[in-house]
Amino acid sequence: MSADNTRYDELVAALHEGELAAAEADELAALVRAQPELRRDLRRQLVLWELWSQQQAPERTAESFLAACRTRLRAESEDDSATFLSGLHRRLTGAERAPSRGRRWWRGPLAWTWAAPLAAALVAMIAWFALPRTAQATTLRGEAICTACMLHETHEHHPVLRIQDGGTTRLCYLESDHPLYREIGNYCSAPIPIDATGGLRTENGRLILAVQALARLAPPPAEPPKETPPLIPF
Amino acid sequence: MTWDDSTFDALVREHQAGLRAWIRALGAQDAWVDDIAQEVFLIAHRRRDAFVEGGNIGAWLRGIARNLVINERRKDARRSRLLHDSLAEVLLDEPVPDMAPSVHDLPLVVAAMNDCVGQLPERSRELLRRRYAGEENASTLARALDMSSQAVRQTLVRVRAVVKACVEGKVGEVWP
Repeated sequence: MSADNTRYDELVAALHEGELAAAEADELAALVRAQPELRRDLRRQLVLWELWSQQQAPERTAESFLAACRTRLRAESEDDSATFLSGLHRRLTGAERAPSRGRRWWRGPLAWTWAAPLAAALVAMIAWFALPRTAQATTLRGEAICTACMLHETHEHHPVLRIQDGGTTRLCYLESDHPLYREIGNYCSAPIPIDATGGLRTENGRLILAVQALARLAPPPAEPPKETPPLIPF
Repeated sequence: MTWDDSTFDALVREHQAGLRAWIRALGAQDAWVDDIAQEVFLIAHRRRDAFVEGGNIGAWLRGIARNLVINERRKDARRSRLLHDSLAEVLLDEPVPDMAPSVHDLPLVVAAMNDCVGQLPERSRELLRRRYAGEENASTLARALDMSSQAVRQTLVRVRAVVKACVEGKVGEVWP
């Protein structure tokens, strides 16, 4: 490296701090393109502080990373996204009935809790299959969980919708940086039941929802207190 | 290669650190490195039959990673998991076949890094640890450590330079 790399050092420092503006990135790119020794230096810095970060951030340890890989592998092997969508479609059209207690699915006491979002999903799903490039709103019900605290996939905290679908679990990734996510609450500490509405697509085998609306579901009603027997049974 | 759950676990354990470093060096944003690396292992699992017995599995994984990153450049900027496009482009153009230490050399680099950080004054070590352990940036660290954010930034620049020079001195050409 040449003696005076002040500007290069400033730009790399901004890169490390996540504060590099687009124009500065172009400037840094031009510098490292022109000078192979700077390119090597930048590469080494990226590698070195990546390795350090892996050691320091609890969600980035080798075991956390392995756990996240296993989760994704399990989700992938249980059911791929297309199967999930077509399964949902089959149920919505009545081709497959839930076996619970031998009842028809629409007669269960909780069926209507699910019927509204599923009906909305049916409309969107049919259009989705017919016109895959048209973004149609779909409502999915599940629990918001954190990509960092629960899935250990990223070190940024970001909500993912975990959907229980029969015996399997699906993850639907919510597209990044939506102001509505603040309304979910603290999904890092516990799963939060929500309805999420938006355009559904698959990308690299993942379900992704471009969120248009979010509704936090009321927590389940508390069980009525049990009657306590009198202390003296007269 | 017979591929079962234990094979997958062993593969991830052996290659995850170096692969993540490689992906970062290809120009991935730090927040998305793990996500991309996990995709690499899932793709490797899906295409396990394509791996030639006796081949270099580290190189195979890195090839998958490179292709993923190249595909990532085709996305619009808002959805990209890479650094700014111009920077990602120049990092991807890098002709060096091994941009990060090999799986055999990685422990040497990590040991050197830990040794070099260990030689820093306590306050510098603490700053470096907290900067990467959580989500504390220069501003929040400045408040916590009763420093100005400018002083935190300058200290981090100085400390990073010292550690990097120390590691280079220890591992030499092992580190490409």
